[in-house]
Amino acid sequence: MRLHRLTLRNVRGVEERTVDLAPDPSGSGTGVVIVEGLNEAGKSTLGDALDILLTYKDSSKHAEVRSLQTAGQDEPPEIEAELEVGDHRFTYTKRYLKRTSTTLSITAPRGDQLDGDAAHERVEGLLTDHLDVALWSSLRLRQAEGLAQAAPGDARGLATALSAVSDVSAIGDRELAILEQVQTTYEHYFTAKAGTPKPLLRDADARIEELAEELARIEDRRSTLEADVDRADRLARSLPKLRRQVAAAAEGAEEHATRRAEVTALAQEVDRRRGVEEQATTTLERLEERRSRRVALIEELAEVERGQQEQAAALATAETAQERETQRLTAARSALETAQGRLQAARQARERAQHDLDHLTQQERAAALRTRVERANAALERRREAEATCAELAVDDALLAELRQAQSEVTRTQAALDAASPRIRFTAGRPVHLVVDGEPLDLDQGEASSWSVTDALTLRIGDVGEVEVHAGTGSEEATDAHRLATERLRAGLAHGGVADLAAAEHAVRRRHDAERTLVEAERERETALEGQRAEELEEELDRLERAREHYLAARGSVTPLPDSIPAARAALETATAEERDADDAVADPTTEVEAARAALDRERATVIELTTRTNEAAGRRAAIGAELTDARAGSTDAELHGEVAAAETAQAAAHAEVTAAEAALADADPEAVNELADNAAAVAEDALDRLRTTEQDLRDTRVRITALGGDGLWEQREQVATELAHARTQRQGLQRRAKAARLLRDTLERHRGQARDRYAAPLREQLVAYGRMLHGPGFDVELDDDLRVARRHLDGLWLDVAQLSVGAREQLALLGRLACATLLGDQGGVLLFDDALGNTDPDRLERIGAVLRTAGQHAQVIVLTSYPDRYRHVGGATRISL
Amino acid sequence: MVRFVHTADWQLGMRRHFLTAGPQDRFSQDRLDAVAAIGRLAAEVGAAGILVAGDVFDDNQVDRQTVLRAIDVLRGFPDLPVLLLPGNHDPLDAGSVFRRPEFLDGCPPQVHVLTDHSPVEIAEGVEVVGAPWPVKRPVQNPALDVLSELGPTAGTRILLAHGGVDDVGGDFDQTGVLPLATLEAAVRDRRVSFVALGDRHSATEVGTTGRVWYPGAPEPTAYVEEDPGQALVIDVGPDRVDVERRQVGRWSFRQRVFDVGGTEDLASVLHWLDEPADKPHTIAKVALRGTLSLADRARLEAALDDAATTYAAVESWSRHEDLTPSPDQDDLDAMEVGGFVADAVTELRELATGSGEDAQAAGDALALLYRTVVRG
Repeated sequence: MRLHRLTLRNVRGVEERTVDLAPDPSGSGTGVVIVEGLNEAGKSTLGDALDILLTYKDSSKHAEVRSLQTAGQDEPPEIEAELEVGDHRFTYTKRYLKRTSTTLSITAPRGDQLDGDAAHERVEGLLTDHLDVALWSSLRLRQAEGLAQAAPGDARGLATALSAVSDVSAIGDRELAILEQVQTTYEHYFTAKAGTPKPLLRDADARIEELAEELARIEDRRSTLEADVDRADRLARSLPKLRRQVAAAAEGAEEHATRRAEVTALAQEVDRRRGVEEQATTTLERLEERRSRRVALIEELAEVERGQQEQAAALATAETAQERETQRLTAARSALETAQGRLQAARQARERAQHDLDHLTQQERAAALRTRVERANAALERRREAEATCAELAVDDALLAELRQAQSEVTRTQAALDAASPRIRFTAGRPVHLVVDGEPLDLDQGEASSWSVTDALTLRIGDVGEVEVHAGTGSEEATDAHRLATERLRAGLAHGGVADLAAAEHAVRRRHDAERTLVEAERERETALEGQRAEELEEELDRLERAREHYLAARGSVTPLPDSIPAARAALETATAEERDADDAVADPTTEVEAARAALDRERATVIELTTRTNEAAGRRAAIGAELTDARAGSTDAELHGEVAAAETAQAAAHAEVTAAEAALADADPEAVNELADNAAAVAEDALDRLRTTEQDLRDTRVRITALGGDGLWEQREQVATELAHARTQRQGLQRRAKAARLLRDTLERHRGQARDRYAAPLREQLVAYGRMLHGPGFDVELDDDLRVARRHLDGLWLDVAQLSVGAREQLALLGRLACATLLGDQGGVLLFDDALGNTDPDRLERIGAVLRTAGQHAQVIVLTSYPDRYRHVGGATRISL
Repeated sequence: MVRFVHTADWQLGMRRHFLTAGPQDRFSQDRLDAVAAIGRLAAEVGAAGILVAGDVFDDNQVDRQTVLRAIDVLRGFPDLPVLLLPGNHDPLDAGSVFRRPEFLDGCPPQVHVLTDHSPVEIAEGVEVVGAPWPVKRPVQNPALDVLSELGPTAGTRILLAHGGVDDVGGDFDQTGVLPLATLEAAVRDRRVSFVALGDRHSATEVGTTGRVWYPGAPEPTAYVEEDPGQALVIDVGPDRVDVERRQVGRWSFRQRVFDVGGTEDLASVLHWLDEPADKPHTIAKVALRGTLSLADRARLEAALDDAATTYAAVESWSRHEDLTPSPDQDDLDAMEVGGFVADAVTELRELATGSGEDAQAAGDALALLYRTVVRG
């Protein structure tokens, strides 16, 4: 198809516009036309208008049609195109929405004029015959879909073109329709995607399985029934033999039972005779017992009487012995008492001697303790005195040293004062009473006294008067020094509580004496106490004192208290020896007492026993005598002996009869007869049991046969087997048809794929050729089933389309369409690009210009753009400015 | 001379796996009708009795309904002795159908089941000695025991027995087979006047005495049977025997293998399929060997589909089936296929010339393609 001219009237604000899409200079109708215009200039409208003209009838109210109407204007939109399709060239005009009309003016190959639907249908027919409308629409590249690749895989026009180029069978509509029909048949049996069997096939399997299980169940029941039939026949056949066995066994058992009855009679006779014998024996035994009792009584009576006499003699002897032993015991006890008295006295004497010794030893200890206490107390007293002295004396060595130094200082300052101070010397011419500085002083006649006047001195001389002497300033310093020294000395003496230095030295000496006494007294006390406390010693001493008094009070004066410890010790030894002797003297009488007491006890027991036995024998003798008297009243001794002899004879006769009967029974061999009879009875019973069991088994089996046999298992089996056979046949047919459908579909699909692969080669080659113009020799592509680029190769690297940059994908979208259009040539539509390549860099644009130019030599390429600069590299293009 | 009707192998209750429900019902009913026809035949020819030589029922475990329907037919029989012999299909074992209450209760008085060797007189001077099968698989044929007990007779004695005869070939159960020599010796020694056998479904004279016969089944049961669907009317005298075959059944079995190479061969197949006059009572089995174009194969399949409807059953004889579809130019022209479809046809055609399941599948695929393209 070629578009030569397009005219729009009253379309989207454009009153009228004609665009002549002039063919290339060669007149072949190919070439590139670049329609330039600003945004909103109506470029896109050109493409839309061509689509609407070729798609919608003039009567259409489709939204796209309505979009042509200029807002606020009444005039209807009108589109007119001058086109070349196949060998037809015509002008095609449609007015929409109002005063609608369609006109078609054909100029080649023959002139013709049509209007209305006829015109529309004619053009539609021409397009269908010469153009793949779907492919044409796919190849158009709009601004908004710049990255999308065309999907021309199943496009008829391209396929035809490709098959023409590649000399490979095309994928025609008819072939595709066949494949579609076959696919439908295939999907009757299998799922479209996974190819798994559908329920139709699975149900056939399930039905067969179900029937096979049903058949197996019936076969099982049939087997059971047949086994029962066999069993019943076998049991029925065995019955006569079993019945014969029962009869024979019963006969045998009867014979043995008769024999057993005979033997039983013999045994009963033996039992009867044994009874008679037993009775005779009992009688004999009873009489013999009576006779034995009679003899025993007589003998026992004699024995009792004899024993009575012996016991009387023994009792007399025992009583004598008892008396003798009583006297012996009395004598022994007397001797013992004497010895025990001596021992008691000796023990008391020894104890007293021991107590005396203990007492004296304690007193010796008390004396020692007392001495130590007195020493300790004396030492303590001395220490206390020394401590009092020390406390009393305030002067110690240090104070004494200070006093000595102060005294020395007073002496020195006095000397200095004396040297510096005026000195008054008064010599009494008569006894005179002086008061010097308030201190009285009496001088005898001729007696003199002198004073240094250190400061001032008042000297009253009796009632004569008072002389006041002032030292003047020359001795003030010495006076002050002396006064200070004197005051210090005085203060020291006052502190030490002494009058002067001599007293202080005396006091210090006393203090030293007291301190020594203190030490000595303490040492003395510790020696006396020997590490104990004084209170402990005093307590012990006190206790010993009280013990002494108590002992002396309690002791009495049986013997005098020894006067010394050695005397006490000697007395103790003497008393101890006596006690030992007395103790020894007790042993023999004690032994004798015990022996005498034991002997007496024995004799007493003998007397008691003999007395008891004598009494018992008397009772016994009376009882025996009474019993014997009673017995003899029944029968005398002679009569009793006669009865016994008669009974012995009767018992012997009965025994002989028993022996005879037992011999007869033994001859009959009763054990064997019984065993045989028992066995025969058991055999008969067994045979009868077997017969009854078999009969019962047969009845049970027949019941089962009747129950199952009435079910018609054979026909059930045949019916199910028939259904199973039908199901298998049907499944076989189904599987065969399914297999055929799958094989046919797979084969067709495979050949279709192979064909497409082969004829896709020219498209790929054309695309690669254009790609290499753009990118150089390293460019290559792979196509998918829809003939879209799946992967691109560049610079040694294969990348999926999705991995490519926006610009690269945009270029592939353009190149793919150009390649298709190139291959389609005259059969292609108008290749319309609306503002494509927005993402392509300037360097590439130059090369794309070359590609567009090449493609334009094979197909009509119309580029609508607001950026004409992008396409300035397209050589030989026709440029139209709106 | 005594006249009686000799029949056997009714095998009531039989089912055939190649029959679907409707034809099976017809088959069952027609077998009962054939038995009824035997009763009418006996009345028509004035027979002294009807001798059924074994396998009255297909099995001891037939449906109660089958027994009752059989009883119903027997009740319609003429009032003359009808002797039923238990055979290997319905032996007189503990599960015997003849001992079932529905049989015992409904059995008409003139019908006797032979349970032992005791002679049954059906006419003056004419006794029948039966050799019933006590179990399905006896150690030897019970007839041999019977023969060993029999001495020569001055009257007419018919041995009613069941089982194969060693002289007669065929696909029969070898259990309890009867030596022909023994049978013929008995005939020669006049211990028996006629041996009425059952078991073989084809009406057959056995041996050379003319006194040993199989009547065959009253309705055919399998393809291999020869001359079935009959009962025999026997006249036995001391010096002669007359045997007349009388048709009582209406079903037929037919089978054939065709070698085909083109449209003409196919025509003969179609003709063969169209031949039978009573297709609803006909069972056919057919196999084709050779090659057929896709168009011919489509015609064949259509004809077989039609036959499956009109016949009682049409079986594919898969054992002999070896048909290769061979698309010819006419097929391709008819399909008008080109491009990748034509390539696929070429490949499938090649595959179909091989053998095995894949070849069969390829043939089927071509046929499917043809149907899809030509018939839509």
